[in-house]
Amino acid sequence: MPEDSFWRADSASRTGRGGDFLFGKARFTVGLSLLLLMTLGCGREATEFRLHYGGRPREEVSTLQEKAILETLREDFGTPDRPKVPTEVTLDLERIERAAGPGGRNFEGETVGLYRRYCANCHGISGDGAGPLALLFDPYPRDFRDGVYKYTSTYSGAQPLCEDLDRMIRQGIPASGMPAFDHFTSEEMDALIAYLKYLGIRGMTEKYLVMLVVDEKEYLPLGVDVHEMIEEDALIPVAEQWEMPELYPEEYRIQIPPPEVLETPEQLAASIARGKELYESKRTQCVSCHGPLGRGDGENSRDLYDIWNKPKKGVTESQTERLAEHYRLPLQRVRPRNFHQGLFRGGSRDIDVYRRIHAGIKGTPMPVAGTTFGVEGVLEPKEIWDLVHYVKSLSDKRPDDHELEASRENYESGTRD
Amino acid sequence: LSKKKSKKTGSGGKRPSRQTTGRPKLLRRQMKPPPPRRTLVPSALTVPRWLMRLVQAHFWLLMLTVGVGTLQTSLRGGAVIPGWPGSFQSPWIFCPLTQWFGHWDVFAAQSHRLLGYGVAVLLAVVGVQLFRRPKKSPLLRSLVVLLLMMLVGTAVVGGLRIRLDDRMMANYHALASTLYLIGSVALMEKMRIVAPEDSRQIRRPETPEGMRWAKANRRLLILAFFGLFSSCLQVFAGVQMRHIPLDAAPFWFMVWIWTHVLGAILLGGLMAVTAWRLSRLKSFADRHLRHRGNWLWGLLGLQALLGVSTWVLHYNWPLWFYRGVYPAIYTIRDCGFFQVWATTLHVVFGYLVVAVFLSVVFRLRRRGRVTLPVDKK
Repeated sequence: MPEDSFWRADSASRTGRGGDFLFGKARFTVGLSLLLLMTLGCGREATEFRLHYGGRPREEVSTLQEKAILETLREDFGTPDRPKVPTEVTLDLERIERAAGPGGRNFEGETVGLYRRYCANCHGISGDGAGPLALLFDPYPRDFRDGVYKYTSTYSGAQPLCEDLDRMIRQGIPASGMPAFDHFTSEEMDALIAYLKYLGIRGMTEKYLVMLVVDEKEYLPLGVDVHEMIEEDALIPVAEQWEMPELYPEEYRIQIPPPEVLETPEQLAASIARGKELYESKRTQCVSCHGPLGRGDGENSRDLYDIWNKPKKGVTESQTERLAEHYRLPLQRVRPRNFHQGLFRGGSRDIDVYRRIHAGIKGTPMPVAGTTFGVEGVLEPKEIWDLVHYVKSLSDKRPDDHELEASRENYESGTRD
Repeated sequence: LSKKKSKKTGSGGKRPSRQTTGRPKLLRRQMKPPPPRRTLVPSALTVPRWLMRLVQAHFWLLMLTVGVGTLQTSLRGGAVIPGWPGSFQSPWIFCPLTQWFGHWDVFAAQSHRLLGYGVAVLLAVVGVQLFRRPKKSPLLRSLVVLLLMMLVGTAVVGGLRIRLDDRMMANYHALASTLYLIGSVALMEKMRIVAPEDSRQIRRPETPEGMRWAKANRRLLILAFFGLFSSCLQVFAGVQMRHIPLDAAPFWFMVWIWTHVLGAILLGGLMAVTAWRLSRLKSFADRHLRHRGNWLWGLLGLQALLGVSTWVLHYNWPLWFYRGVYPAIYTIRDCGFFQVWATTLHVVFGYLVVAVFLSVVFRLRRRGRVTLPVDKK
C-alpha cells in the first residue's frame, strides 16, 4: 500500500533515532519561552507630547523645568490620548477627542484617532513635523505647533481659515510627501481641523511657557499667578488669532481684484512683458532668489531657510553641526521655485499664484508684495496680475487661453477655489 | 514505493524496539547514533493526493490571508474592529454585517480574521490525519503542532493590536506570520508527492562526473540559501518600515528604508542568478526546480515594478528625479486604488519570494543528498 511509506515518516530514519523532533527536546520549552518573551513590554505606550524648545538648544532647558512645563500644559491641554480644551478656547472637544488617541473605530463604526492614523507618521504625535518618516521628505512635514501654514488664502500674519486647511488636506501638495486625503467625510475633516488648531494653540502656549521658565527664570514649581499670566499673555491672544479669521473672513482673506480682461494674445503678451519688467526690477527683487530666467538659481538661492530651519543654522559650518545635535531633523534649505517646471505647491491656478505673490509664503523667505491690513505693499494688484502672467508663461505647462478664460469665469462666478 | 523496495533500502523496515535489543541502557547511550541511511529515495514519501492538495490549499489560503491582512494595513485598518476578542460588542468573530460590509477597512479586517480561521481549520484537518496513525511521522506531527501553536499565537498577537500598542503588536504579528509561512512551506515540502519518474533512474555521485554534479548542486544550494536569507531580511525590514513606532526617531526609518532598498538590489541579483542557474538544469527530474526558476524571474520583474511604484505612491518621486531627470509633478493620493494595491501586492509577492526560495532550498538539499537524476533520453 503506497501510503505506508509516507506514514513511516522521515525524521526517525534521518536522525537514526526515534526521538520526537519537537516534544522530545527542550526546543518546545525554549520556543514557547521565546514567544512569551515577545509579548513582554507590549503595554499600551504612554504617549506624551514632546517639549517644544522654541529654537533653543535642548540643554538650555533643565529636566526640572521641562517637567514643570509639561505638567502645566497637561493640566490645560491633556495628553495626546486624552486631550482637554482650556475654557478660554472655543474649540469643540468632541471633535478633538475624535481626532486624538489611537487609530481605529468606535463601537458605532465611526473612525477615531484620525490624527494618529493618517498624520502622525510624518507630522509626529506632538505635531512637531518630526514623525518617523519626516527625514524622507523635502520640505519636511509641517510643524503644527507654530500655527504657521505656508499656503493660505489669508493675509500675511493671519492664521489660515478652515477652508484653507480643508483644501490642503483634501488636495494634498504636489511634488511633496503630503498626500491628498480626498476620502475624508466632512465630520472627519472637521475633527481633524479642530485637532490641528488645538495643536497650534497648545504649541504657542508651550512656546510662551518655555520662554517664561527658561528665559525669564520663573521659579518652579509654577504658581497660580503664572497660570493667570499664561491665560492673559498666551492662551487668550493665541486663541483669538485662530478665531478671528473665522469670525471675519472678509477682513482676513486676501482681497483679489478681478484681472484685466485679456481678449487678444497681444494683450496677454503685453501683460507678460510688463510682468517680466517687474520680475527683473529691483523693486520686487525676484531675480535674487528665482534667478534671471526663473530657474530658481538666483544669487541668494543657496542660503535660504524657513522659520523651522533657521534656528539650526550657525554662523560657521561647525556651529551648524553642533546645533544639529539638538534637533530631530537636520538643517534643510529652501529652494526657490523653478518656474519652468510648472510646479506650484500652493496651487497652480492664477488665483493661487496671485495669493503667493500678494501674501508671500508664510514661514519662508518669500516676501509679501501686496497691501496687507492697510500697510502699502510694493506691488499694485494690477502689477501682481502681470507678474502672475509672466511667471505662468515661463512654465512649459502654462495654461492656454481657454484655461485662462475658465479661470476668469471661476473668479467672476465667485468660485475662487 | 512498494513495501518490498522500502525494506530493501532500509528506509521502511520495522525498527527493532529498544526493549528487545537487550543492551544495557548506559551502553546504548554511549553508542554513536547510526549513520544516516543511504536510501535511493529517502524522502520519496507517497502522500495521499488529497492530503497533499489539502496542504497546498492551506498554503494558498495562507497567502490569501496574508494578502487580505496586508490590504487591511494598506487601508490603515490595523485596529478597526473594537472590543477584541469580540467584534463591535458582538461575541467572538460575529462582526455585525452592517459594519463588515459598511467600510472597506472593516471588511478587510474581518475577512482577514475569517480567512485566518479557515487556515486553522485546514491545518487542524491535516493534523488530525497525521495523528490518526501515531508514532509514524514524528517530524510532521511535531511540525503541525508547532504550526498550530504559532497560528494561535499569531492570531492572539494580531488581536492584541486593539488592546495594546498597535504598532508593536502589528510588528510581532507580521513577523510571527512570516515564521508561520516558512513553517507551512516546510510542511508542504516535507509532504510533497514524488512522481515515479523522479525516482526511476538513479545514479550515485561517486564518479568524477557525479562529484562535479554534487559540487554544483551545493553551490546552487548555497546561492538559494543566501536568497532565502536575503528575502527574509527584506520582509523584516519591510515590516519595520510599515509598523514603525510613532515615537521612533526619523533616523531609524531611514535605516530601515535604506536596508530595504539595498537589500532589494542584493536580493534582485540573487534572484536573477538563482533563476538563471535553475533554468539551466536540463534533467526532466529537475523540472520542478526549473518552474521555480521561472517563478523567480516573474517575481523579480513584478517586485522591481511594484517596489518602485510603492515608493512613488507613498513618498512621491525623489527630489533628484524631478529636478534632474523629469519634472514629474505628482500628488500622492492617500488610500488611493494604486497606492493600496501596489503596496499590498508588493508585500504579498515578497512573501512569495520567501516561499519560493525556501522551496528551492528544500528541493536542492534533497536533490544533493539523494539522487543524481539522469536525463530521460
